[in-house]
Amino acid sequence: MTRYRALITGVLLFAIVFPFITPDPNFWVSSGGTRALWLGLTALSMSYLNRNLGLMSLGQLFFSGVTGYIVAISSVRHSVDYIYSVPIAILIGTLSGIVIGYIALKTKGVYFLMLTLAVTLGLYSFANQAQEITRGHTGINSIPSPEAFGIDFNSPRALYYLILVIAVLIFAATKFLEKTSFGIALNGIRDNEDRMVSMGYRTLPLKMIAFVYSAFIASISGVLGIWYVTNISPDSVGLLRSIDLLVIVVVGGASYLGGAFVGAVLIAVFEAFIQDITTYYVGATGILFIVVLFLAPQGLMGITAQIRARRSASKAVTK
Amino acid sequence: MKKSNTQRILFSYGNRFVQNLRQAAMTKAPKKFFGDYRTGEKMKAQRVRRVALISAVAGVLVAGLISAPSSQAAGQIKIGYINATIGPFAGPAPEITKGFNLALKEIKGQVNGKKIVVIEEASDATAATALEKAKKLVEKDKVDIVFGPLSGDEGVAIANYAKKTPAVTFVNTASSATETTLQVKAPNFFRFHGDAAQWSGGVGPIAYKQGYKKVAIVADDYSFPYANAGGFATGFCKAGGTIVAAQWPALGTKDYSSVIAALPKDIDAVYAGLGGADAVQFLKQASEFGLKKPLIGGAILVDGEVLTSKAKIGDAALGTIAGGPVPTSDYHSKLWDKFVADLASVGTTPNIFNVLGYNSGKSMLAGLVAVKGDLSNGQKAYRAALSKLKWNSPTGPISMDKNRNAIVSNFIYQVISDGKGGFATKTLLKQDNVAQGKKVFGRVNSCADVK
Repeated sequence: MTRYRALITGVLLFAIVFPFITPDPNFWVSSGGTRALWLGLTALSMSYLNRNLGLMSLGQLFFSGVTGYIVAISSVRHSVDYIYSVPIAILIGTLSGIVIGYIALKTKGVYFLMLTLAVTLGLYSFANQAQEITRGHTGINSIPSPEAFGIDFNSPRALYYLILVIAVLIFAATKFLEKTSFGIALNGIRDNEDRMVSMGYRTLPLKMIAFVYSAFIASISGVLGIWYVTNISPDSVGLLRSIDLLVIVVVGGASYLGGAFVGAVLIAVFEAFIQDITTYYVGATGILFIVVLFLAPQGLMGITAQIRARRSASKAVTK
Repeated sequence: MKKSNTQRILFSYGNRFVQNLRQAAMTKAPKKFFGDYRTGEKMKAQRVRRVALISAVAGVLVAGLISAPSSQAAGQIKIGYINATIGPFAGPAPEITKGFNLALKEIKGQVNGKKIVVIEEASDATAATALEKAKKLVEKDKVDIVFGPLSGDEGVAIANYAKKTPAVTFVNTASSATETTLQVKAPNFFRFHGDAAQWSGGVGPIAYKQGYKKVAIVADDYSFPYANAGGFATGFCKAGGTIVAAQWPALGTKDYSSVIAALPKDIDAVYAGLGGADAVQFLKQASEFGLKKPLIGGAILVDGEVLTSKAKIGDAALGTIAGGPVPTSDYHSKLWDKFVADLASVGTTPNIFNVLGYNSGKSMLAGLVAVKGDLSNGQKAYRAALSKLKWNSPTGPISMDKNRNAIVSNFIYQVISDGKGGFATKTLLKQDNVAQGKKVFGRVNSCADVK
């Protein structure tokens, strides 16, 4: 208990003092910290589903994209105040999870993956073509961050803390949700859905709640994302960005909640360094991905379990 | 009131869900944190190792952050260079660098004793990546000038970013959407070449004179081809022609067979606003399918970069009329001939990318030379010098308008055979002092869209 608390406190403390101790705060706070937290939050919505339902979704950027586009279109193009546009957009993004979940959750494995990917690509094509609404390939530029509670979130430091607070709250809520009997029922469905059905559980509504919750996380990260990037265009929701997220989730450890953030930090920091060395940074990230998976098939968070398994195996041999 | 079956199910689930939450809130939280399905004694040992692992990772990160270069050496000028070397323009993008390097070489890479340091970043022609790279160059490398980008929508995004970044001067390399200068109007963003509508403005009347009355448009679906097609259609419709159909395939389309098949039969010519790999693919398929209609090209359809490609585009490309900033094979002037010879020395021939790379780069450096490399006082003197800059480029005189978009010379040309199985280009009209129009074009589907 104490060690776990110490770890949490340590990570949190580091995250809080990070903007003050980092060299080059202009760059690292925004392109390092904020970017990692934003990517981590989106990846969390993905790894939550994988960890608790055993379903890998590539549709998370659909929810982020829908929310981001609604906020950008209403607030930048039609000057609706963020007070109205943000909650409504998050609500729509979350509720769209019901429709998509209803269809997608009837499938499993690769079919689920393809269905959710299709939804994301559908949004990509729509955003590309519906020029009158989304401004097509150009997208929407100069999206300002909000000013609220007397704080101007256009300052990189303020935006970093905003995302940090939201990420911590959502992470805690997700941990909490896993400990409820709802969370335990989900794990039952993941491990053996037939048995849960025969025990009298209606599994679809439970799966729907989990799916909609992950859509909720993705929607929030969609709003934070457009404030960080200041732009949204079809490429923000395309196939490549979905794959980027998948890489983060898998590198961090797809069956660990913390893996989303560990993966996001690794990728964000690695890309920040590697772009100084070579313009082939996409390839370099690919090599990093292969190396990590070669050495740690369960992702970075799974390394300890991997070491322990190897030790107990070698013990068994010496006995 | 009697509840329906669905209502009952939903209600019972809602109720059970809330109960679960409440129950969990009251019971003491279990110990494990970094979630794992395993429970029991093994967890403790695992936790210890995990703490060690995470501390190690954090340590490496901190060490990395501290060792990151952050000092700015005196006596040098840092230029951050964004080029779309990934994605649909990966082919032509290095040509911009070749042009830029010629300009750098002419001033021996230094101004008034200050060395010019170029930091290159690769974009993938998307706005989000271009923005990320611009931020990195400004915030991490602390560059004085950002030089880039290549593609239309990247330019719009970067000009918007320039507005928020008043300390740095931005010089465009090749991105040619109209909006970038006409609407965004960032006071520190300069474009030393025309936008796409300027390039094709003169093509319309000439196409009409050639006897093309009805034209169908096929163009990539983003801001640069919009401007390009808009410029063409404005002149063409004014002269009396009509746009009878328009198709807008996505940038990076690999198969144009359905596009070509869907072209109306009763047209006189096809306006093809495609570039790079898309242009080669379209021309190749148009040849294969025996598309009998003559072509009118956007600025990069029959550019040198496409005409020198190895693909079989012959039948389709021959006879194409197009407009752009690049002089043709039969054009000669002292400056142009020297430029062509310089390009030959680095193993290439003129095309729109190396011409824009050279002209934009040379303009940016000429401004630095004019102020003797002095970027103090918020780069005020430098920006004033750029705004007033007038010089004779290999492609004709360049000057700035009040929105910091260039007034330039432009060439309307036709693709002909060079008699050796390759292509040559012949000038139909050279226009001087072509200035930016007053309209930002979207998709042009008929003549009504350009009135």
